[in-house]
Amino acid sequence: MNAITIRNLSKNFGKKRALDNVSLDIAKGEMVALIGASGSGKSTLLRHICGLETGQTGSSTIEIFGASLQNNGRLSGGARDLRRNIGVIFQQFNLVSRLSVLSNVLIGNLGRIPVWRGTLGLFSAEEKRLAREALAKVGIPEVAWQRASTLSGGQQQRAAIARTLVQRSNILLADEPIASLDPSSARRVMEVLAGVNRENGITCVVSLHQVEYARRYCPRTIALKDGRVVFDGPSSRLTHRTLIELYGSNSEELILPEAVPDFVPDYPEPATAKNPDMAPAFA
Amino acid sequence: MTQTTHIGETDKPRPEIGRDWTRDAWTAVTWIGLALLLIWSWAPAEMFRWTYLFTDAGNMAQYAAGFSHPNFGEGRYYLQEMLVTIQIALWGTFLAAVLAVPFGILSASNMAPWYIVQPVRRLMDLFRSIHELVYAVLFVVAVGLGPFAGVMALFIHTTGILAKLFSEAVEAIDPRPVEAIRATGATRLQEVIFGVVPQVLPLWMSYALYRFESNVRAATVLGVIGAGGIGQVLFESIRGFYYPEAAAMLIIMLVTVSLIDVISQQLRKLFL
Repeated sequence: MNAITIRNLSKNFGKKRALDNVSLDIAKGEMVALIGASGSGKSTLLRHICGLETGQTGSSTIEIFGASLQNNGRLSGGARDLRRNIGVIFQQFNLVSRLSVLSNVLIGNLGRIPVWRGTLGLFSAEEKRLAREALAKVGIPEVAWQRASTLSGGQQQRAAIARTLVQRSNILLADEPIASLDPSSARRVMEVLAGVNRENGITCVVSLHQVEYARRYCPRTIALKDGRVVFDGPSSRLTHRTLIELYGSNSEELILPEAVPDFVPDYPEPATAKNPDMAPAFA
Repeated sequence: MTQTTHIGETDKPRPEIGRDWTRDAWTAVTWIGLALLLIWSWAPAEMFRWTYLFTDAGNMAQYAAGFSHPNFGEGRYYLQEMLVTIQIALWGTFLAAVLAVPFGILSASNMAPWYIVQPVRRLMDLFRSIHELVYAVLFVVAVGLGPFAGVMALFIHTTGILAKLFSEAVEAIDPRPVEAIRATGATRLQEVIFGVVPQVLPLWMSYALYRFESNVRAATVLGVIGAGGIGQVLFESIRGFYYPEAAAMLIIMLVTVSLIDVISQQLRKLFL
């Protein structure tokens, strides 16, 4: 069964076309990278999948495990129930900065526990234990009682991941989770995401700016340009030459030479010759 | 899975999207509008009389001289009445702050749809635009002369003010943590409690404390129409030309308001 099914999704922001007739299928348990230059529609697509935005009216649909999340630009009635199965990690972490890290992680429970208990903030001892466990898993157990605003960027992002771990969602969407992090924090965060995907079978969609991370951690890559899907296939086929063909001079911002050097040898072999089945598309 | 949908031509010049001039136009209209309003109000507000402030300042000095020898003979009584005034302000502000939370959130345009925001805002306008004195007269009729009428008057008026200030704080929040909470499957109320309230709480506290200070002054004025407290005694003294006694009360009020200011400064630091 597909974890995420998108059909004919378009979105305009004023005069700008942010998404243009996107259709995608993502199977359960996949780890997918979403790449593209700034403004190519990666964030917008992820925000639609978690139901924070609605598409243009028309024939657009988004289904989560076969249940309708939005249809023709309207959220369906069960959207709140579906959201609890979709964990979201944001580029800017989106923690409540004046609450403690532990409270921020406990917020991940809100969709799971009875509404009255969540509203009053009465979390059980078991839920608090699991929240601490999640913080230990992402490697920052010592900051539980600090205010979220006192953490470094890398720590905040890991706290945000702990929040989604507590949520126990089946799908994890990460919107440029490493874009504002230093390389070593970035690698830790990607490793946690890959671990969650591998060990718990959680479907992950990660939007990334650098294609090196996509090739290292994600078997499949979807590339966007101007709101359209321009590549959808194994990440290994996404060589630098392919990127240059896709994005022209914009491809420079997608390639980070020193980040993951073991992939550099791919370049400059002719991608089309190596992968004949991709060739017609480029012709 | 392996399928390539479309390849765009590389490096095609991208069309520029035209600038939206309406925003700039509206900004200009707003500033010009403000200037016109000020000019329009000059004569009706008799602003041309400003020269009298300098030519006839002597009259003010003469009147003020009457207050130059304060008489603290009844100091203990004045303090008691001052305390009553503070107690009136305390209850009026507390009830207003409690009610201003739901009204403030419901009149924030990023929290509720326009068909709720607009009616709630108009109701708050009504609360705010009518002076405490008018409400006090109204409540005196219902609950009789005394401090309780003052509490109710302050309560209604302050609710209108705090709801407006609270809603402006809510409209200025960072929406991203709220979205993160929505993404966990939380309800709207939970979004407000965990995402909005922690962000605005220091500002709300600050506003409520400021209104408490203002309400201590306002409660004094309410004494005029018999709502109790030091105001009542003060106006009786002034009406009877007992300026030394009035001066003593004014000094007590000044010291009290300063004290409250110092205390609320400390409280504000605590909540930041």
